[in-house]
Amino acid sequence: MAAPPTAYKDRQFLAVIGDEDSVTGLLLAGVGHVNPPPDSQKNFLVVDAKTETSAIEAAFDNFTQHRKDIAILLINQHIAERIRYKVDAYTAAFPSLLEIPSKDHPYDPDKDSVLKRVRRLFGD
Amino acid sequence: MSSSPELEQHITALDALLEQYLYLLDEHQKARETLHKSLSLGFISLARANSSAQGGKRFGQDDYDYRMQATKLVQVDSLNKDVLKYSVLASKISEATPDKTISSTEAESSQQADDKPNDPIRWFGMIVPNALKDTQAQFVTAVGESVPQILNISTQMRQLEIDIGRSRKAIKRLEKSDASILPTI
Repeated sequence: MAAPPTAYKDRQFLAVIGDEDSVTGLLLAGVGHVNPPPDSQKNFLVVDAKTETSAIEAAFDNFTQHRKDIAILLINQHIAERIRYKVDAYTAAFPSLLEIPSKDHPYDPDKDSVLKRVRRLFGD
Repeated sequence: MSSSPELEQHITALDALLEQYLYLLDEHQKARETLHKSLSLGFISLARANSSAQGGKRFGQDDYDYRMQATKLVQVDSLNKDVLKYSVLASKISEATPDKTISSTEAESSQQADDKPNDPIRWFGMIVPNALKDTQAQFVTAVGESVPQILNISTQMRQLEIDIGRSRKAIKRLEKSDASILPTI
C-alpha cells in the first residue's frame, strides 16, 4: 500500500549529490534551494576528487533521513558507487532515489535499481 | 495434465500482469534513454559554454547565488491506494514570469535580464553564451519530464512486482492442492 499523505505532503524539493557539471546543470534547471538563515541548509552537494566519502555519506543521510522536505534525491551513479552499501540498503519510500550518469561516467545499466528488481523477479 | 478452472484463471491473470510489467519495463528503458540524452546534450552545451567563455571562466559553483530559491518543485499525488504520481512543476514565482530564456535562440542578449529575477542563469552574468541557455533547456527537460516519468514507471513496476509475487504464490498453492488430489483419482 502506498505511503500515507503525511509521509510526502511537505516534500517538495529535489536534492542533488553530484559532480560540479551535474549540479550546475540541475541548479540551472531551478532545483537549487538554500533555506533562510540561520539554518541555511543547501539541497545539493558538489562532489569532486577531494571530497571525503564521509561528507557524501553525511549528505546522503541528511537528504534521506533528517530532512523532511526532500521528495527526490538525484545522485551521480559514480558517486553512488562510493557509498554503494548505503544506497543499496536504502529502502524508504521517501525521498525517491534516482541515479543519473555524469559527464565523465556513462550510466552502467548493471547497477540500475529497477533492472536489478527485474532480474530478481525473473529469477536471475 | 488437466488443471482446475481456478488455477487456469490465476495463470491467465499472471500472464496479464507479466505482460503489463514488460510493457512498463520497455517504457522505463525509453524514459531512461531520453533522460540520458538530455543530460548528455546538457553536458556538451556546458562544455561549449565553458570553452567560449572569456578569461578561462568556468560556469560552476564559484558563481552560485547562495540565496537561491527553488523554482522547480515536486508534487506527489496519490493516484489510488497503491500508486503515487510524481510531478515536477514550476513554482508560482517562476510561473508568473514566462520562461523566455529556454525558447530563445537569438544571439547573446541581456534584454530579458529583468524578466526572470529568479532565473539561475543570471548568477553567471547578464550576458551569457547561448550554449549555457541550451544547457539550461536540456536540464529543464530532464528534471521536468524524464525524472518524474522514470519514478512513476518505477513505482508502478514495484506495485506489479508485489501483485506478481502474490499471483505466483496462489498458483503454487493451487498446484500443490491439485497434485495432492490427483493420486487419489
